[in-house]
Amino acid sequence: MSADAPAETLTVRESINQALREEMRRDERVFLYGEDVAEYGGLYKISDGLLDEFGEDRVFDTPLAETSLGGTAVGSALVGARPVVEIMYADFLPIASDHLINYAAKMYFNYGDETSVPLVVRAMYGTGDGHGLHHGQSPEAWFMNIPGLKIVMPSTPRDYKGLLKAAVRDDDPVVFLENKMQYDLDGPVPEEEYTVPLCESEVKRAGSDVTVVAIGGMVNTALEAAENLSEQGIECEVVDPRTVSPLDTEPILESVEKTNVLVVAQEAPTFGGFGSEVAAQVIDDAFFYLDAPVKRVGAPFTPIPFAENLEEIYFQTADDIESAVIDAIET
Amino acid sequence: MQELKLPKRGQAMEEGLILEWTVDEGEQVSAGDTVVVFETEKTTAEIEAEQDGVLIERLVDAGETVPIGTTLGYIGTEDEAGDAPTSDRESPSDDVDTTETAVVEADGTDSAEQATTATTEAGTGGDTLTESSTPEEGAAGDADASSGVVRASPSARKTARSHGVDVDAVGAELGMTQVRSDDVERYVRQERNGPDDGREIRGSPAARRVADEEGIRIEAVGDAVGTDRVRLADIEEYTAQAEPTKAPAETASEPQVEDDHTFEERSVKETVSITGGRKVMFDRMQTVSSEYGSTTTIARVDVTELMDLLDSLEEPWNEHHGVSPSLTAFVVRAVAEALPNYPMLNAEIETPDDGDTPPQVTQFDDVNVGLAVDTDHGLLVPTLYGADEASVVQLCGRIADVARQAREQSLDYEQQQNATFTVSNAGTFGAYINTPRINPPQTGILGICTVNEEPGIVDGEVVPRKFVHLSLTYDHRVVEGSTAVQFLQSVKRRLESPASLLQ
Repeated sequence: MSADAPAETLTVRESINQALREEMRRDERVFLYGEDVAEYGGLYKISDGLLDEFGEDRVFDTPLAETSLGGTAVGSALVGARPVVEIMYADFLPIASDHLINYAAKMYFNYGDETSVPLVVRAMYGTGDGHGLHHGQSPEAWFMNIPGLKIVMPSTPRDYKGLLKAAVRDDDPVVFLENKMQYDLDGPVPEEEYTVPLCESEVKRAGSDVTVVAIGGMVNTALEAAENLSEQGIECEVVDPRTVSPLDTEPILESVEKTNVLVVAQEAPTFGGFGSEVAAQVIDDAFFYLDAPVKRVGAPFTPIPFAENLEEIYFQTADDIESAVIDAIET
Repeated sequence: MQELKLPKRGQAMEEGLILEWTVDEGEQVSAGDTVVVFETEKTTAEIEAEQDGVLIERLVDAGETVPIGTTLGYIGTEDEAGDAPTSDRESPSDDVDTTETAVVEADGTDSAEQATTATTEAGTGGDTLTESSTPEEGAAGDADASSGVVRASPSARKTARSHGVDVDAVGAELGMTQVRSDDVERYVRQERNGPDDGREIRGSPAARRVADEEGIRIEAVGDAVGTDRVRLADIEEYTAQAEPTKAPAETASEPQVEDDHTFEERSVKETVSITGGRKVMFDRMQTVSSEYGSTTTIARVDVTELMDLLDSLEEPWNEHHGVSPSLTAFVVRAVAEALPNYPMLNAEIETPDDGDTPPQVTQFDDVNVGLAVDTDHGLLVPTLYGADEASVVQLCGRIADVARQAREQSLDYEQQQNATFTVSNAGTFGAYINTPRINPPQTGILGICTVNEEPGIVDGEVVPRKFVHLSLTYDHRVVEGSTAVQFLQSVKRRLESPASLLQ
């Protein structure tokens, strides 16, 4: 896919819809199920129109029973289907997690006979809509500690589409996390067929002064912060891992070796988070290039508050990233 | 209570190795029992208990080497074991502790006896050594009793030794009587960073890596830039500052605090007022240093022929003219011949103070060569007027005269005025290469260095030759480098064909 290939402007919502539609057309083993994905077209209209095109054998609604969703996904994947199951809110992934953690993630390792579990779990996260404790948590760290699971957190319409298509085609179980606050974000998406490879970090913005590693929705926040900082003469390099695990660290290390300063950003609480893992790896592998303390941007160690004013404090904005960058530089 | 201190055994002894404790802590001892065995360079010796009691505490383990005067442990009664031997010394003025303090003082005065009772192994001449050590023992005991005894853990002592510091100094500085390894580190840091600066200078990992690559000390960067957190930008600033004068990496200057060593003011031998000739030199060199664009160029001149010529002329000139031919005279002659072609070097600079008038260089027709003469009362520069019109023979005579007059301080005022250029011969003192300073307001000075016999190449063969360095310092503000070098080459050519100078 070349950079000047014809592109149309799509929202994240549209790009995910296209990805699902294209993969289901391409491979009849691909099917989509979950709560309200069929008749309603998905709570956020992600799967709008898919029932009409593919019928209720391949696009169907389920009860509120995430345990069964997880179990059936593993089972169908084991017998040769390529299920795409939606756990509407990522907050409820733990209910399905026994199947993801103890079965899907381990079967390749356990059987050692090419057994694979090619399932995709789509789930939405994202804070800032007043949905409170149980409808917006960023769950990547819950699963990062599980070898055998791939965790994907895209940030742009192009990446959403390309990564989802790659996830469907991947033979390993993939947790595909969608930021529900950014379904309306639009951007160029190539018109031609393409995928974005899993496990490849991408430099979203080049800069010489500070490396900002951000995931999911925070990538766009980091890019906004980088533009503001640029006006102050600080050039941030924004690295988007896209796949949280297994992590492609090389571009991060290369960037830090250039800038000597690292800031990490995520929506989840900083403690035990993705940013902490990146910080640790950089300290381990690029220690002698660090010229500043590593700063982590993330939520405070508390559940997401309902109250609007508290949620505002909880939620990390471009301003918070800018402050962290300046703190790192000026410490 | 008896304080067990490592005694001095012999003039050369500075430290001792504790070989063995013969009693355990808390174990009963009787007066005369051997308590500790230690080894010095030449001998093994023992320290005995002077009183009945128990070994209250060991402060130094067997196997450790400690300086003389180090408190090794305490012997006392069971009752004394409770109150730590140091506690009474923390506050010597405390009424409650009066009795204890008195005991300590008695110990101090008794220490001569203590030293005498210490035995050395047979055949090591212990008696003599013991006697010689007695006075020091007494003095050390007194000092400790009044200043407070510091107890240090073995690891603290080890750390202290590795830093070359004394635990007593650590205790005194930090105001504590129980010193741990951490305290020693803190003391060393303080000593290094200044008294009230608790923050150690640290570099970021990247800064340390770069500093290491460039052979720079992080501490030096921190000091120079004024930060205790050195980052890459600070190193850049430091290297930019220090580029021309990157000092050789000073080894970490650890404080060298020696036992029983007092730092006294330096004793003054004499204070010399800078007056007279010295004051003139002082002022002129000040001017030259701060204002002149002094630059030095050096030529190596083959004076084999010239020196031969001087030898051959020695007898006839003495006989006919009453003078000895001198290298200086020949150089002055060569300079005087060459100068008219380089008027900028036969000149004076005038820099008006008003700031509006441009600087002026006055070039002279006359060639009056000043000759730097070292005397007991400073450097004097008598003038050889019309040097270009004098023959070498005449110059020899005049140089001898003015040098004598300078030493006798009988030069007239006029004899030290009106020079247009200066020649200085530091070679007579052995200078291999000497860079003279211009005598302001002149624009140049030629230094003659010492004549050395060195391998030279003549017709492709290495043969012994005589060489002298001529160093021309000129004011680069007004004299071009090429001018200076050409002048120097023209002097060199003349000296390498010395017969021409006799004409």
